[in-house]
Amino acid sequence: MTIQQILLAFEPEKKNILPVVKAVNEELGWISEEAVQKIARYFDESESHIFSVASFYDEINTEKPAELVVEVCDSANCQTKNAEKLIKDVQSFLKIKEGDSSNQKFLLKRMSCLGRCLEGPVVRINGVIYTKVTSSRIVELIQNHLGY
Amino acid sequence: MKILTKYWKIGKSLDIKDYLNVGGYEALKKAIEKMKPAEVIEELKKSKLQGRGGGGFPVGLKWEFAAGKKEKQKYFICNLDESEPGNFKDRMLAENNPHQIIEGIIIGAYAIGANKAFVYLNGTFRIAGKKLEQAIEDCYKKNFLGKGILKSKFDLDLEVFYGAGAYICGEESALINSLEGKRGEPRSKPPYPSDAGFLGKPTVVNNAETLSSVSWIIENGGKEFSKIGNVDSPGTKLSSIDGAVKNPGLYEVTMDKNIEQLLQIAGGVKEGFELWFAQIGGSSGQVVPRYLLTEIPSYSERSVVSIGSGSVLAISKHENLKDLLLSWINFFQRESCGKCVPCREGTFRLKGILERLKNGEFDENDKQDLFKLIWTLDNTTFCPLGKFSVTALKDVIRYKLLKELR
Repeated sequence: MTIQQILLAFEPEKKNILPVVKAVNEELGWISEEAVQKIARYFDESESHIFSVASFYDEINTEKPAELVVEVCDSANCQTKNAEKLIKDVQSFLKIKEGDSSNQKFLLKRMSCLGRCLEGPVVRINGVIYTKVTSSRIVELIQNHLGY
Repeated sequence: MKILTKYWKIGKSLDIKDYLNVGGYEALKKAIEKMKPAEVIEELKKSKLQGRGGGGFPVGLKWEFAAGKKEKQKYFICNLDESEPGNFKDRMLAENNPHQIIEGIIIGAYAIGANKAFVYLNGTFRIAGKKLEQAIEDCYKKNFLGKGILKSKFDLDLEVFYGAGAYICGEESALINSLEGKRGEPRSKPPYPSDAGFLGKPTVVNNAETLSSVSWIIENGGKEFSKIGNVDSPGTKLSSIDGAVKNPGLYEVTMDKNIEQLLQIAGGVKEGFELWFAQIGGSSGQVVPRYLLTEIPSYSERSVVSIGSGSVLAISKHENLKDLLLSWINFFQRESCGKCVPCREGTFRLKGILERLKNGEFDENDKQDLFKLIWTLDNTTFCPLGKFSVTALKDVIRYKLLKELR
């Protein structure tokens, strides 16, 4: 789907700004400068406004994301289920430091509670949510996403 | 006494047929066919139902403010943006019995005179979203939504709006900004949403759990509801009890239980674990040491512990308190909207200090800065997130739970 096709599925009303930004992010992986221009024109808003919206929300990327994005919930409930160890495990397996966004291949981030606390620890890899993730399982899940 | 989970079946969500079979939408029929909007509001006022997102504001009063506005265009919004760590009650309500929420929305919209309603849904709650969308479609087919509901002059359109990952959008004015296609930053109040909310029009925002109590109130009367449980904080409450307990889970309780009793409802403390403290109401919640487990969390002003969103997290001596302090501040620093300097900078600096505490580098300068930052975050931020970010830390200090912070 092109940006134009996505735009035409929505009326240019204010309440559709965030849904459109989400839809373009979902389709193309991120909100590029070109996307900002097109969305701004469609809604008759300034580009800076559209960019300010895109840059605010966790779900939306304003830069091309790394190939593999691993997010581990570090909120209090998952802390009691050993989330800190999972973060260390991913760091050592992928040989990266958490939060290092200079890496094009891998990004490890802490994320906020997704409300699946009874099934923690909760991990999200490239947008896919996994629950009850153990140290051994996280390596397996990452390998699956990397294709081996 | 079950109001919220009464019809839940394990592994099966109630569709419209199931909901109608257990008497669903009888309250809506009663409200529209037999009651004037003002009478509906009177019942909500008599019920003393308090907002269950965490604020505990009287629902009847909120509806009354909006109903009294002469504006023709009004909006009604269900806040299902649940993001407080440790809480998933609203997600479960939407997945298991979406119609009970929707019935509350329609009755509320009728009471205030709104013809357009939204469910602002946490964007990661995909299953809940599908259930709500199907339920809404089924409501339109049955004339519970749309034009001339149940042959009255009341019209209402309802749609689901998906959030995009921002805890602060659970705050009603930030939610409204988000719905208007803006950054989810809170607004200055006054004006309150009931005066000027979505697109500047009178708007009511209520939590999904709050709305799930409305149909019972209309069917049985507000006075009956006000007698349930704690008379200063009546009705039932969903509480997600987790951590070092035998049976972590979501429980429907009345707000006359103390924390020890709540832990017992979840099977008591796990074998081989020693309870250190409990945190009530998520990461923004108060921390309660062992000797204060006799406190009763509720929305009453008499309660020393606010029940907030309702969760209980049992922390055992196994846990690393420095990691928990970091977990709390990481959350608020990440979720800070950035609009005001004290919160944007304060949470960031506090995070740095708590990292130094974890790494053993915490010195006297850090300690002084820590206390200054607590004051700043507690007193000068634009919205309550600043206060939330230091609530647990203050209690850790108050109850002398960490030797470095004495």
